[in-house]
Amino acid sequence: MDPTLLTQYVLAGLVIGGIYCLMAVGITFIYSVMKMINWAMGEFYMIGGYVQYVLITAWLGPQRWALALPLAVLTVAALGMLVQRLLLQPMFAGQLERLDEYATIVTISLTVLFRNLAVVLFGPYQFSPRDYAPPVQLGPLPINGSRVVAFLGAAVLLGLFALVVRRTWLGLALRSVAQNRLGALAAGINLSRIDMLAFGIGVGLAGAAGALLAPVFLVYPESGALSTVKGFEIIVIGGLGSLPGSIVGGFLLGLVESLGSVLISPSFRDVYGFGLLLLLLALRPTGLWGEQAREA
Amino acid sequence: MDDPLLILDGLHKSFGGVAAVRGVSTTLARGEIRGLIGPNGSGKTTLLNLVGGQTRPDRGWVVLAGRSLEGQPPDAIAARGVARTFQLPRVFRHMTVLENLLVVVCADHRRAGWVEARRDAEALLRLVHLDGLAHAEARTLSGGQAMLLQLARCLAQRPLVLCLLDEPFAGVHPGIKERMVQAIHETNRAHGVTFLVVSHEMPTLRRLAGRVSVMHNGAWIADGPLDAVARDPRVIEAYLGRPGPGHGPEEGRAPGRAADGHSGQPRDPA
Amino acid sequence: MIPLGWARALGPGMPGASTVRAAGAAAGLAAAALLPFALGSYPVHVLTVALYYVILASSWNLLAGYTGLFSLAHHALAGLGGYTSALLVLRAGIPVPLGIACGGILTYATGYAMGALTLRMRTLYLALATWAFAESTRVVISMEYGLTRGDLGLAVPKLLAATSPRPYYEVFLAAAAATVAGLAILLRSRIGYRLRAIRDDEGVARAVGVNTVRWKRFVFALSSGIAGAAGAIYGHYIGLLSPVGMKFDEMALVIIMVVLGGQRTLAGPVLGAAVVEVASEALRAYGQIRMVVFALTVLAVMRIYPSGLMGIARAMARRWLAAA
Repeated sequence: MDPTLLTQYVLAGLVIGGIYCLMAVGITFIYSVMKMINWAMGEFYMIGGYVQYVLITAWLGPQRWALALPLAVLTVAALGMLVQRLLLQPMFAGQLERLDEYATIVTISLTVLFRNLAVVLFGPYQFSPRDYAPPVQLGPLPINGSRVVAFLGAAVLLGLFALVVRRTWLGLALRSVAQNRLGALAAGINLSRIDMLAFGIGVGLAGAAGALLAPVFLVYPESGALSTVKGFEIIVIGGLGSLPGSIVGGFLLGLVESLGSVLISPSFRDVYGFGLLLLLLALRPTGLWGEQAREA
Repeated sequence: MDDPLLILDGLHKSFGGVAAVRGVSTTLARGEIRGLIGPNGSGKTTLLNLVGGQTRPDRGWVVLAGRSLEGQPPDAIAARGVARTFQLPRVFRHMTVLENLLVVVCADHRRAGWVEARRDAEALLRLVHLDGLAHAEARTLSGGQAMLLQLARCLAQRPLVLCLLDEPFAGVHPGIKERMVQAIHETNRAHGVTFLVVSHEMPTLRRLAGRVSVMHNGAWIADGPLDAVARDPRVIEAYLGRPGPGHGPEEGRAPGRAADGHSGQPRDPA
Repeated sequence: MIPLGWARALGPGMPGASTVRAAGAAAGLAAAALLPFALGSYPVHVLTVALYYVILASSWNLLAGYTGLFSLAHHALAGLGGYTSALLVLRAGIPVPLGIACGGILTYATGYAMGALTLRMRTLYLALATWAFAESTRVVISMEYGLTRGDLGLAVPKLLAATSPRPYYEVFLAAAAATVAGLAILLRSRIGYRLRAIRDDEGVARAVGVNTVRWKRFVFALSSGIAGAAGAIYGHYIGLLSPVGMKFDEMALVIIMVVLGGQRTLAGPVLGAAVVEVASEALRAYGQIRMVVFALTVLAVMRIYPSGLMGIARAMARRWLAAA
């Protein structure tokens, strides 16, 4: 196997892995703060793609895609906060039991809602904004310009995310809620507002991924399904509730898919991740970095 | 004591480097009612968990009626005759009070028929004066009623040789407390059931227990009749953090939990 | 694997179980059996599919609603049962009913294994693990083109020689009735008490002597076996199997049916499956908006009236009885 070709594929895997990270980090972040799994993450990804597309085609034009991006992300985040306030907030209002079930049923219903709403509003067609940038030469292998943009965008967003979580008051509040809800409440933190923001940030990351990848994976009602799958694959691999696990898991998945495609067969691309996932489930069900999944 | 019911021998349990139970050894005689006191964080609940099977010891033995409980899951231990209540009242919330007791009858090792089972369950509810609420959903019960139901649930187990009660009187209405004491006495006298009662309520323990053991920081520090234990300087130091005459846990209120930084709020309503 | 003593533990349920209700159910069943003769082929087909979902929803309700094991792999087990039966019939030439039985047995064993592997998992991890299993199974079936013809679909031999759906309707009706009746007996028995106790507080259930390990495995196995057998019968009815039917949307549909109808009731999944499936077909002309309506309804139910349709029905019945 030609080493330079191998390197290109590794790089390509890392590029796509970086984007997968966005989804995984979003899922894990929401879990850390709200202790729930949002099964509709893929749909927020899908909405991000649609909003980006609509912004570009109906208003800003393809040249100003970079302006459309933050707008799309903010729209998705706002939608997320609305959903959280209306549907998920009651989870914590006290009387509800079996929160996990409630959250699962509600977010799965959202999946159905958003997916079918997209078909109703836009039809089952696939849309695609024009590529964000011309192809980039990485040695002899040209990488699609949009993918490079997406990778850089993901890197920027994850960097911003890390900055907010580590260095800002908001980040401190978020971390404290993640570690000890009751303690944070006692310290005077407004839990409902933090929950709302956390959810908004989490789905915002997914929306960003959708907006960034709109020209690569196209925009259509089912586009969320695959990213949900990838996102949860990474969660299982990297461990629920672990941010480093999500990032490492994301890159790992990208690498495994890319190398599998070139070393074994490209048509099973989506399967390699599952192979890794099943292996991990058998050996270490909580994931590489996972917290204990055992009941208290 | 020959043929003790329960032998604890050198029990050790640590959680992540913190020793919750350190080298605890004692024996319980058949038909004994033993009190277990100690400041919060002294390892009392962990000890109950070790006997009940909810936790495995790092070292040491638990021997019930001559047979080791090593490696046994909680349901197997229950089948041997060990029943327990939990510190926070845990009941089957979506079942009625009566059904809560019927679950006990449906345990894997039980063979009774429904008619007999229902009869026994109703009798138990009468014993603890919960029969009026037999068809109420368990989640509508007050905290004290739930504690009472937990006790009834214990008493519904067959075989029943040892009852572990984890702070059954905490925050409970005096009327309900009285019913509990009567039920415990009745069961102890009529069926020879042994009780290990963790509690902070000294007056109630005095009525119930012949002997009281004291734990502090995971270790067994004193053992004997309540009056003697109350005057033991080690016990006083454990509760108050300094030796002092006449300031023992005897004073009828939950002892100051200053050792752990909790406020010394009395537990039962005045 | 089949817990000894569960047959003994079944026995007659708690005395007081309503004979009126049983008589009513029998009458309803008789009426349902005669229904196809009054309807055209297409409505009968719709009802047949609805009955398939009744079995799926009821068995999932046993697992998730009554025992609290929120599995997201139920639809995959139905598909697995279907493919197992189809492939055995096609490749090994066994008769279709035997194939269906094999499908059920394989999924029973699979469910048992899943129960064993997820014993100590909290709800969310259980959901993730079962989701991962379901997706993996779908992908593997999709990929094993040589065996399953992947996304092109597998042509499945039919169970009966009939061209009309009517005899299939009766088959599914019998299967659905057997499932619901069996569940009724199970839930009123000692096993039912154990399962409900496991859901309400597993630690306490264990502490009073319920072997939670054994019963969690059992209920996973049983509900999976039922789903697999139902999936197999369905495959031999439609005549075509495809991994598309094992997508997550199917699981979402089952959840919607159970939640709308009323979790932790026997009639809830029946009602939910019937209503959702029939409404889905009736509104087919309006396109995807019907799914939007269902999703919104479930969200409203979860938010406002978690007991679903059965809850509403019971509340109404109580009011009538009080007024009478």
